[in-house]
Order: sequence, then C-alpha cells, then structure tokens
Amino acid sequence: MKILSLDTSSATNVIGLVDGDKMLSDFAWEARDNSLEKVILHLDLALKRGNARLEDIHGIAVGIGPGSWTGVRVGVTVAKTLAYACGQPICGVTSLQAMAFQARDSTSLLIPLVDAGQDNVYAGFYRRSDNTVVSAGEYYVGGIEELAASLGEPALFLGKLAHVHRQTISRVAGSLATFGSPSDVHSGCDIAWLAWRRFERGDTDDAMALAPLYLKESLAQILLRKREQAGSSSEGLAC
Amino acid sequence: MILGIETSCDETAAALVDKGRVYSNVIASQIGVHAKFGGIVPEVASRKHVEAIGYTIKEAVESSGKILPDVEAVAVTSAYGLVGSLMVGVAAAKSLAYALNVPLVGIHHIEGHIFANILSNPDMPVPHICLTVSGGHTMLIYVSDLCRYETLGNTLDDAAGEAFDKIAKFLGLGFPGGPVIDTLSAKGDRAAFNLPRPMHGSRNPDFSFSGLKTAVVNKFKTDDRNTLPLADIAASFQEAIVDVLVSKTVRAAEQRGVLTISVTGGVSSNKRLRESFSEVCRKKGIEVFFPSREFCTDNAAMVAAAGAARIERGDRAGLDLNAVPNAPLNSAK
Amino acid sequence: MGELGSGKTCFAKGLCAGLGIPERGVISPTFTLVNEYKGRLPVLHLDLYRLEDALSGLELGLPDYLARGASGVVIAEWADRILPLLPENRLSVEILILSPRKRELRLCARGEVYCQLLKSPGYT
Repeated sequence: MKILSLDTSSATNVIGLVDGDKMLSDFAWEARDNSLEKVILHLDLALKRGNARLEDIHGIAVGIGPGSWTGVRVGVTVAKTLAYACGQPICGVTSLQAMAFQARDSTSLLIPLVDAGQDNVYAGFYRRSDNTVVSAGEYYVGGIEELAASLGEPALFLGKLAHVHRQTISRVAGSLATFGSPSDVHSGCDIAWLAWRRFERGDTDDAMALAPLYLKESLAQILLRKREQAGSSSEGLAC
Repeated sequence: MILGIETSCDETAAALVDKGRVYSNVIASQIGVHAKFGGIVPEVASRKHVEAIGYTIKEAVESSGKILPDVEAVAVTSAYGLVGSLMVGVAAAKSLAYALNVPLVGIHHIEGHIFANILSNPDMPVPHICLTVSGGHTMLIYVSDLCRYETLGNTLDDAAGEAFDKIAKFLGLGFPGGPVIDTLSAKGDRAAFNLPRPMHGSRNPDFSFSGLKTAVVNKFKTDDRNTLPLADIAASFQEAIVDVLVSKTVRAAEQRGVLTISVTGGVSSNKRLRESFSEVCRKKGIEVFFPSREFCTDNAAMVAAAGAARIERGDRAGLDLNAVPNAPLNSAK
Repeated sequence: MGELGSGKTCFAKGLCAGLGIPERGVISPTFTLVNEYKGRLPVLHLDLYRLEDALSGLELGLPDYLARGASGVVIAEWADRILPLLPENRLSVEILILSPRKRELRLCARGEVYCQLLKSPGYT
C-alpha cells in the first residue's frame, strides 16, 4: 500500500513516499516562506524518485500542525485537494504526534512540546501502542512550569523546546522528567507510517472538512487571562 | 472548460466557465459553507479559506453539470490581495492542475474584475477605460486590448467601498456599508449637505476618499445619532463619491479619445453610480457597461474568464506559481 | 490608535516616507488587513479595524505576521483591537483630534528600545 505524505507545518518541510514499511522516497527542505512555491515541484520529484504516479497512491497523509500558520495552510490545502481530485483517502497527523512517533520505543508517557507564542507551549500526551503512538490525554496550552508541576508519572519530554526549558522542567518535576531528542524534525516517511494503521483500518478523515489544528481557543483564553492579571489595558505607562 | 478559483481576500470562490458561458459560479459565503463552521458569515472571512476551499470547488464542479475530468485548465487569483488568503487558492489550483495534468495560469485580482465586465458584456469593445471600484480598491485602467493594460490612477488612501463601509459604521447602519447606503440614499436628499469632493477637478487621475470620510465624521460626530437625518447624510455622501468617480473616469476617457467605459467591482452595483454614469455618458456619446450583479463582487467566474483569455495568449504558470500580495497589473506578453 | 478620521494612515505614510517608501505606495490596509512595503527596512502595515477582537486576530494568523515583521517595522492601525497579541516592546501613538485641522500625538513607549528612542535627542 503506497502512502504519500506531506508536512509543511514547521520550518523544515517534508514529503515522503512509502510502500508498506519500505521507504520509496524522502524529501526535506528549509521552508523560509517558500512552502507554496516549492511544494508541488518537490511532490512531483518525490513521486518520480519513488517510481510512482499519483494514481498509484492509496492514501495521503498530511501534517496539520500546530506550527506555522501560513505553512500549515499550504500542506493541508494541497493534500485535501489532491485527495479530492484523485479520489483517495486522507489522514491528518499532528506535529506533536510526529514528534512522539520518533520516541515510540520508550515506555514512558511521551510529551512533545512546540511553541505556542508569548512564552506558552503546546503539549501533547502519547503512549506507544502497536509500533506507533496513540493519544493519552487532551492537549495542554499554557506555561511550562504549570505543565511540569502537573506531572504524576515519569515522562519523556520531546523536542527542541523541551531542551530549551530543560532546567525549569527538571527543577519543577524532578526525576519524573527525562528528555528525548532535541530535534523537532521528523521525516516525510514518519508522517506516512504514523498514518499507516489508520489507512489500514479505514479510519481516515473527511478531505472536505480537514482543517489545520488550531489550538487557538485555549491560547486566546490564556492571553486574555494574562491581560487581566497584568492590570488595565490602558496604554498610560510611560517609562 | 476553465476552473476558476478566487481567494484573494474575504471570499472563497470557484467557478466553471467555457467560451464565455458560466456553468457554475460558487461563493462559499453564499452557499452556507460558513454555516458549517460557526453559523455567522464573518466580516473577515479569510480565516475560513482552508476549511471552505474543498467544499467550494466540489460544489462548483457538481453544480455545473460537468465532472472534474472535463476541466481543461485552471485559473487562480495569485496576485493582489491578502497573502494568507491568496495562498490557499494557489495551493488548491496548483494541486488540481498537477493532478489533472492541465495548464495553470495565475491571474491578478484586478484583471479578474476587468474581465467580470467582459464576461457579462462580450460585445464590449476595446480599447476602453475601466474603473474598478470596491471595498479594497479604486483603480482607473486604460485597457488598450484584451489583457493589455495601463494603470492610470489608484486610490491614495481609502478605497471608495471602504469609505462606504466606514461611514455606514459611523452612522450605525450595518455591514456591508455600500448596499445599505445605496438603499437609504434613495429616500434622502443628495443636495442636503455640501460635502467635499477630494481631487475632483484635479488633473491627477488618482483618487482620495479619506478627506471626505473625515469631513462627514467631523461634521456629525457631536450630534445625537437619533436626531441625524441619516437618509440625507447618506445621499449627500454617496453623491460626493459618485461625483468623483464619474467625473474622473469620464475625463480619462476623453483624454484618451476612448468612447467606452467599463465600471466593475463591488461598488459598480450601486444604483446611483450606474444612474450617474449612464446620464453623463449619454450626454457625451460614451457607452458605459456594467457587469451583471453576480460578477460585481469577488467571484471566480471572472477569474476563469480572465484565465481563458490569458491562456489563449500563451500565458502559462509553472508549478512554482506563488502568491504575490502587492503585484502591479501587467499586460500579457 | 485614534478614532475614524484622526489620521492614522496619514501618520503611516509619514513614517514610511522616512524609510524611503513613497507616499503613493502607502494605502489603507483596512480591507487587505496587511500591506507590505519595501523601504530601507521592510514594513508591514496592518489595519485591525475589521477585527472584532484578539481571537479573530489569532484566526487570521496575526502572530505569524507579527513574527515575520519583527525583522523590520510593523505599523498597526487600530491596534487596541488586539492588545493581548502585541509584542511587549512597542511604541504606541495615540492621535487625538483637537479640531478639524489640529491633532495631538501622544507617544508612549514600552520596552527598553523604545524608551531609549523617546529619550534620545530629536524629541522635545
């Protein structure tokens, strides 16, 4: 079963093509505001290198964020349009899942972190299952200390941001916290393999309805709470 | 058969057009797509492009009586607009063109509006002067031939439609401002207030409406909203805008010795504007054309029409087509 | 910040002129939300007039734009609509209408860089 995957939600854009557990092609490029420009060209190259045509693809897996707002929109739009045009099923995969997938050999609770802006983080919770990872809780959006303080079991923190906040997390969570790879980068094929089981089961998404993962409502509430705590919204502060 | 896609600002739109005949013209906000995502049509709809684009294209195909393989080329607005919105249309268009293996062409949003009138009035001659006026733009263009343009004037500050919206909001009249003021003005006296007509007599073909906006605000802001003669204010304000638009456009036509004027864009559906243009042009022996109402505001049929003309002239975009928010309007090669 | 007709876009034109961007190139971004210009520094000219609140700003990817604009200049008209989304370091300009042809500008700095700017010679 050939799966084509694409993720433009982070600084490194990736495209992958797999056939079962065989990697046919794997592509990555530094986005720098040119996701839209390059995406179809690279997709075409990935297919050619993997000796496949769009018609041969059984399913399309796409990264739905969280990540760059403009980046995510490119990938999701391309994927859902291709799925519609070629009549193929589609599966959305989150960046957090992709990061957790990298650490699927671990038996700990997996907590990947990505930046949510304004000193906040997005965190996902996963556990290994059947050579992949499954969700183990609702997303968290908020400050890093609060997150670390809420830990009740050993957890493996993942991603670049986890390492940036390593000292804070260790101070608050103590020995419960361990740290995995400091890299957020996942390959195109990882996205494909993450979605694999879902394609096999027919647990796919609706191409028309598929949207980027916006954890915005939670973030908005936090921002408003912060603003209330900081006092009035008047601009009367001079220095 | 061209599939047109338009996502340059607030609307998500797709349409199928073949040889000047419109098979479908779908606009997401009008088919209840937004109802699926929250019930209200937001003023700033660009947030929903990614969610709406799939449904919009699908609906455009399904309601046209054709099937996707019938599409022979894809035209998409890729220049002039909000970059985050444009990108969605361009991403979808590129993907379709790639999957269907058909030609792709990127269209400047203003060119789309110019073609809205050509689509509605296929016998409209060239050369002509085109005034395209909406919430986001007010531009005067000399169209020497199909796809050959010379930009004559632009707004220096607010677009005409924007001025309508802001004054309507100031007067508590609701959104969008143009249609509300249009209707209300019919009941008012357009000579009631003497409002400034910025750059009216100027030889400079550019437009400026923020002075007019400020004049209205300054004149009435201290008054109690309930005592204001809203219909008269609306009528006088509208008359000032119409006056400027008509006189500058007609002057441009006379300067170029052109006997045809094309008025397009959202504001071109304004009754008083149409009336005034018709009156003035009749006296001067100039023919004036307006698009059908459904093609005045942003839509994809006009983009498909522009696409057909561009493709005929050998214009093709590569699969590296990008969204360019501030591109000038260029002629075909 | 300032009410309708106070001259926010006019101020923006002046600021851009100082960066080498012609006045003609600076127009109201009310409909587009964001206009981008290239001057001595890249400029992002935002107009939040059409936004209801900060939440709308999030849905439109404003944080992304603000991050992108960080390497240049960001001019935000009607910025009070999205206060929670604004960066900590900023210069607020409030324009008050005194009479049809007179305006009062109140400058308020937040953050080191802008405080220094206001303290430097050239400002009385």
